[in-house]
Amino acid sequence: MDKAQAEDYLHSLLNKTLRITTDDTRMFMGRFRCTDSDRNIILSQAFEYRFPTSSSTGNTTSSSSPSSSTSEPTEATEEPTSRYLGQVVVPGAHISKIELEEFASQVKKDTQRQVVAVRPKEVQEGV
Amino acid sequence: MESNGMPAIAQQVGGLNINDGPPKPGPFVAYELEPPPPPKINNKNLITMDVTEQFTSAAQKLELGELVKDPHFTLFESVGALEIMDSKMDSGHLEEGETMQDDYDFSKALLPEEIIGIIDQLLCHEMAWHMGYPLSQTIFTSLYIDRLLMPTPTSLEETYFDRSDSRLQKEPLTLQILRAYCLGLIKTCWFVNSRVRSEHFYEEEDFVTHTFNRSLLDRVGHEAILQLLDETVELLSGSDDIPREIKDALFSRLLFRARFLRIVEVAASRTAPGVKEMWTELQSSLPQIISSTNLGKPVPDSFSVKVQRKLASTVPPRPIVIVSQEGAFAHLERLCRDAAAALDVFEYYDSHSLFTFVSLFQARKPQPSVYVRTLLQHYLFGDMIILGTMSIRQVLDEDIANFVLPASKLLDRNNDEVEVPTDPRFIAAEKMEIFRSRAAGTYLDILRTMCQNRCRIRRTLCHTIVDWDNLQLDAEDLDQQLREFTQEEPILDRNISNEPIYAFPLSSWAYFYKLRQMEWIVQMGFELELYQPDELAAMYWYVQYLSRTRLRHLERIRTFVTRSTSTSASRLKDIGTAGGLECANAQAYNNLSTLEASANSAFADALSCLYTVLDRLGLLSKLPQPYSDDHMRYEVRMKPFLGIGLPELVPFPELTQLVTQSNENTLDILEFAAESTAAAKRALEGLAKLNAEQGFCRGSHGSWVVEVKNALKACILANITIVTVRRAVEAAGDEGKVKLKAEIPGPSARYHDWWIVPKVVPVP
Repeated sequence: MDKAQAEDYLHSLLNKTLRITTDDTRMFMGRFRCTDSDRNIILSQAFEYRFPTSSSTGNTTSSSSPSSSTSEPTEATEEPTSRYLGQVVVPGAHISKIELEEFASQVKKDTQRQVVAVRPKEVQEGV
Repeated sequence: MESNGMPAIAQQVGGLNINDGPPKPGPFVAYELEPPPPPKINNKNLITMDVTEQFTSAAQKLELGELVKDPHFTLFESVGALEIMDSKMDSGHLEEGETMQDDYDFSKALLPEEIIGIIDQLLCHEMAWHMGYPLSQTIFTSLYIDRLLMPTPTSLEETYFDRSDSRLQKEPLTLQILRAYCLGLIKTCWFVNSRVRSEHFYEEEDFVTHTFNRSLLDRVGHEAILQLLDETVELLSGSDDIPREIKDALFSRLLFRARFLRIVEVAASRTAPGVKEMWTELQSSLPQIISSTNLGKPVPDSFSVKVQRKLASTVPPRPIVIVSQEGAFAHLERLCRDAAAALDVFEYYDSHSLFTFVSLFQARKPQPSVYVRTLLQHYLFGDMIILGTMSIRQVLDEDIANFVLPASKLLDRNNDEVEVPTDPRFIAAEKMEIFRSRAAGTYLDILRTMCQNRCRIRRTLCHTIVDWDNLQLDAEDLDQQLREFTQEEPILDRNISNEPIYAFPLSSWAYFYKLRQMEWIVQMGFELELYQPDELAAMYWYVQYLSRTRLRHLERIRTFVTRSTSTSASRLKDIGTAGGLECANAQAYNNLSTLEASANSAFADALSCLYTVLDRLGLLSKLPQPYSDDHMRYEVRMKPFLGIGLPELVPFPELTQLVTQSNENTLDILEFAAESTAAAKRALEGLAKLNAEQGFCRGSHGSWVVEVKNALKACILANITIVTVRRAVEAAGDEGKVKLKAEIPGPSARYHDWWIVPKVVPVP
């Protein structure tokens, strides 16, 4: 991948939903807005997801309330607790994983067309 | 609940309204609107691909400092981003070895003294929230409150603090007291928050309604909570293992909470009886709580700043706000007192008195808190029915009738009944309706504006002044068209003008309010300390210019009102008729306003002269203006008036000449200033003697008199100051140095906010 390809590739990801895992095991999901050579990433409308771990949950997250609590993710599906943060910048040095989220239907189309890197903007926004 | 649909109504009223509108969330608005719900991460329509490798290698190819970004994404926007893993910015960041949760044992039994300690701390937090701090730094930092709200309970059954198996045993009394109190507290906040949100206020500036995605017990009814509070009170009275003193202290706190909750539930009602008594009762229950605060034992462990990392928040972590108990109780006491006083607004007498009431109420020191101000807004404008009983038209017509159009057939409601389009009465009714539709918003905006904080009041008045100017122009057209209906005979007086002179009642009315508003804008500048010492002479000169213009205008209105009353005198022989009363009111209001404008203009003239002299003597400090000069500053000051046709803006060179009076002798200026204070004093004394009807301050006569007397004190002090300066000038002779020092007193050191009298002291 030469420099132009690298830029094209990163541009193609703009405004897509990324899931970024940090080295403290939290995950941030939001719209990809900006990056630089240090891999610092700005996400907008970001949510923080914290996966329950044995050491940090303590006594509260696992204690179920009498009712089947609907609004809060609980232990059953291992859904993490989440909260809204708005716009965040994740420093490149703390990133352990970057995932791209796409609609299953869209990915199928893409593979059919064998489009890899650069796609017209309309297609992205039509998603 | 009862406030359903209120935001929509507030929006409609907002349409009539204040230019500024609710603030739009921008990059610097820390608390945005309610966040969207978090997307579920296990969604079978979505797939994720690990792009770590590709992304990283692509990013490494970028030049140092090169950015790949969306073209619409700006640096300005990026400034608001929270930096993850930076403990100052990222509330979710854990230090090495730190845990997400506080290890707090909710099953631990607490001493009754500790319950008092926690309750009192919570009350401080509640008041801090009322003062404008966010819930995340106040009430939400309590681990007990956090426990109650997360997960969101749907019934009281889900609110036990202890959720281990041992809770199957009976809840200890102390914990039940705390739980009942906390539930009552949160529900109280729910009512307060809903009320504030339904009205016009400034998020963050006045109050933070953001709940960080937590529900304030939306799904638990307040009746159930009140019942729990009552049951707990009973249980407490039956227990005999708590010392008497402590038991009483707990009692008074539970009763207080139940009372507070009951009040906020009915406070917004414009018909519920006894609300005033409830506030008074709440206030009188406070001393008992205050006197027993020393029994409390604080439990600092039960509050934690860490709770913030579980809240939906677009701001960095912030410390817990500490408000002293004295401060909190003082705020609460004032809140009760102000809320009770706000209910007096329902005793409506006339539109002028209503304006006086609202303006004096909002000028209370310190200004009533946001919750009380939003209650008052609701009382005034809720459902677009003024005070719950009157249409806007009724208030507007009354205001016009009791000032410029007494007993006029233009305001005759029977005109509306005429259905023949060619009938002059039909046409007149139609034209009047056009006028009302244009005037109502601008007129009511004054009241609505007065319910905001002091800085916003001035700012909004500056924005809306141009509306009065436009209204005046529109009204001139309508006045002319309406003459066909009124068959008005003009005044023909060659001494005044070669043209026939007509009354122009509607535009006169608009012009009067415009002048008043212009005076307020300049005068509030004194209150808000906008002006530099070397500007005061010019600004007071402007006050007298506007007041004098108002005086002349009042004279004109009086001429026409007297004339129309005398021509229709035969109809109005009986003073008891509605028309006769209107004529009397119009005269009385004109008299009041004339007296007030004379006082204003004379006093302002005196102060302007005094400051001119002090400036001449070099006694006023002048800040350097490296990027500006007096002329530019004057333009900025007068910006709100630039678009105003009448009265004309005085050009700066002319103003400078009028203010500095360079061809006048200093002693002559002082002589004139002294005479002016004497005239102002006479006018103010006249005002102070008026009764509630004559002063158009029914319902607030007491505070009105205090206001007048404060101005009078300032006036007397000004006179003394002028004498002091004159003596010093005389003593210094022609060439000598005047041995004086002048200081500009701050707002707390003045008798009246709008009258800044310099403090002049002799120096050796």
